[in-house]
Amino acid sequence: MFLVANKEARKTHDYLEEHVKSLLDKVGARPSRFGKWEQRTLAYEIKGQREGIFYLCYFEVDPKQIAALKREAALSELVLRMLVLALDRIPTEDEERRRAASVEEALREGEEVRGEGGFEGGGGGGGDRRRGRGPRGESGGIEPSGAGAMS
Amino acid sequence: MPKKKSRIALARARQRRYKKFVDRGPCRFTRKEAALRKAEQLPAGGLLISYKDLNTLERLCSQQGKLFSRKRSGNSASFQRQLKNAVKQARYLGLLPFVG
Repeated sequence: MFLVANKEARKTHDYLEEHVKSLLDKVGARPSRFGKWEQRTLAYEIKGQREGIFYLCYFEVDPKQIAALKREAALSELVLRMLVLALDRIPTEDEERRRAASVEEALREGEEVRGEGGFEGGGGGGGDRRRGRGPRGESGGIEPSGAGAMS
Repeated sequence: MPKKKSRIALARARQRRYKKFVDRGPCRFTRKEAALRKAEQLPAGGLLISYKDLNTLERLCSQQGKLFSRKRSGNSASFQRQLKNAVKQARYLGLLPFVG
């Protein structure tokens, strides 16, 4: 995953794709899937940039070349961040979509079936804990804060 | 002054409090994984949580951006580990905040 500066992307979107591909070429990587993942506002400022474009790329490369790729990315002014993960096999787009859908579904079902995840109404849990506290007072435990925020 | 509870009474009260967390069965992701396996739709390598599943990660994090505990979210150890790694990777890429 490559995070590229959005400021430059407004001018030349194709140029950025070519730039990222050239980084991969330099280290002899063979990309099998390459494309823009998303353009979004960043959670925090990175190198003075508030927005960025994410490029997702699956490629095969000699593991010894990963350090060289990281060095190239660090030297590039356009690439803000790069994350390289090892995979056993490259998933197809359909597989990737189904996997993401399954995870979403699991999260939803968990909430529907059992009200799992105290994060939905977990404030009650925190409250119980305080009420049941012994005279010595138990330190630590769940913070009841985030629960209220979900409503 | 309220009467001091015995140690046994305190332990029982603690057990009662924790029961609702303990008796929930397998975690939601484990259940989903089992269902997919039964339907022979489980992808190779099992159900994996990725840093790209931002909606899932946000739902399992507090407003401050901290991952909910296993006790609170009901996740199994394996999926909690996956979530931990996914959250850390998403933070590094600027998809999730480190703080608040």
